[in-house]
Amino acid sequence: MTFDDLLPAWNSSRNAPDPAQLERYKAGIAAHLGKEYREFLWHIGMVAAVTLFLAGGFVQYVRSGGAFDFAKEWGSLVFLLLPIGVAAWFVRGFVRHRQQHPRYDLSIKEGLRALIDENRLSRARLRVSMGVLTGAMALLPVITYQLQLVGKQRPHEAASMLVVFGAAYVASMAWQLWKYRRRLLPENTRLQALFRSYE
Amino acid sequence: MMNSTEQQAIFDTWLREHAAILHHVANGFATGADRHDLMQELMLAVWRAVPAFRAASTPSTFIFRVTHNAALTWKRAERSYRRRIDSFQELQVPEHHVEADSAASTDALELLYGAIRSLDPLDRSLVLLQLDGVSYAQIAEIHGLSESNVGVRLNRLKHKLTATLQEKTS
Repeated sequence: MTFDDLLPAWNSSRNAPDPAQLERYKAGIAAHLGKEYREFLWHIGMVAAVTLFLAGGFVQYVRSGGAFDFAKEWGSLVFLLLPIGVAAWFVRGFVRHRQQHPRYDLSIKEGLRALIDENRLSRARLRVSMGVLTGAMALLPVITYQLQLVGKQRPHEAASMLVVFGAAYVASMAWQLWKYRRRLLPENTRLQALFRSYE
Repeated sequence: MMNSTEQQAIFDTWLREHAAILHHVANGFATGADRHDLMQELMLAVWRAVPAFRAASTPSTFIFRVTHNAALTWKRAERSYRRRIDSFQELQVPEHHVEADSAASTDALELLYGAIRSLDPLDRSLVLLQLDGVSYAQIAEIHGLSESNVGVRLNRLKHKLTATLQEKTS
C-alpha cells in the first residue's frame, strides 16, 4: 500500500466531522468562552476593589493631615515605588516585544519566533519579579524599624506584618519558581526544537 | 472593531464550510481522548483569530494557518485535562453503526492518520496540508518556507510515509 492508494479514503465522507458532534463542540466552546468572560469580570472587579481600597486609604490619610518625614520613612516610599517601577519595566518590555514582531501573523514560522521571544520575556519578568520581591523582603525590617521609630507602628503590629508579608513572599516565590522551571523552561525547549525543524 | 454578533456569524460560516480542516488537524496531531481537547483548542483559536482576518488571504488559507499553528504549539494542559476530557466525553454522540463498505475506508484512514502522527510535528503539518489539496505556494506562505523547500520536504515525506505504510500492511 502506498501513500497515493490512501487518497480515496482521505477524500471519503468518513474523513469529515460529524455535524452533530460539531454542534456539541460549539456548545462546549460557548460555555468555555462564557466562563472565561466571567473570570475576566471577576479579575477586573478584584483589581478595581483593591485600587479603590488603597486610594481611599491614602485619601483618608492625607485628609487627616497625615505627616510624612522622608528622611525617617523613606523605606515605606521605596517599598511602594518598587511595584510601580516593575510594572513600568513590564510595560516597556511588552511594547518592545510588539515592535519587534509587528507581523507575527505572517506565517507560522514568524509566529513561532514571536512565541519564543514572548517566552524569553516571561522568564525575564519572573526573574525580575523574584529579585524585586526578595529586595522588598530585605527592606521590610528597615520599614518596621522606621515606622516604630516615628510612632506609626507598635511591636505586635510589626510582628503581624512580618508574618503576613513573609508568608506571601514564600507562596509567591514558590509559585513563580514552579512556573519558571516547570512551565516556561520546558515550553522554551519545545518551541526552540520546533523552530529548528524549519532550518 | 468587530462586535461579537459579527464574530459569531463569521465563525459559524467558517465552521460550516471548513470544519473538515479542523477535523483533519485534530486527527493528525492527536489520538483518543486528546483529539477532543485539541479540537476544542482549534475551535477556540479560530474564534479568537476571526477579528484578525484581513481579506489579503482567503478564509481557507487563514484557517489553515491558524489551526496548524495552534496544533503545532498545542500542549496538553495536564491540570484541566481530566476535567475537559470528562466534559467532552459527555458531549460525544454514540458511535454510528459502521457499514461494511465504509469500514475498509475507516481502517485505511486510521492507518494513514497513524502514519502521519508518527512524523515530526512540522512534517505532520506539511503532509496534512498537501492531503487537503493546498498548493506548494500556499503551504510555503502558511509556514514561512520557500516553495522549493516545501517541495523537497514533501517528496521526502511521501517516500517516508509509503515506507511506513508498507511496513504496517506487510
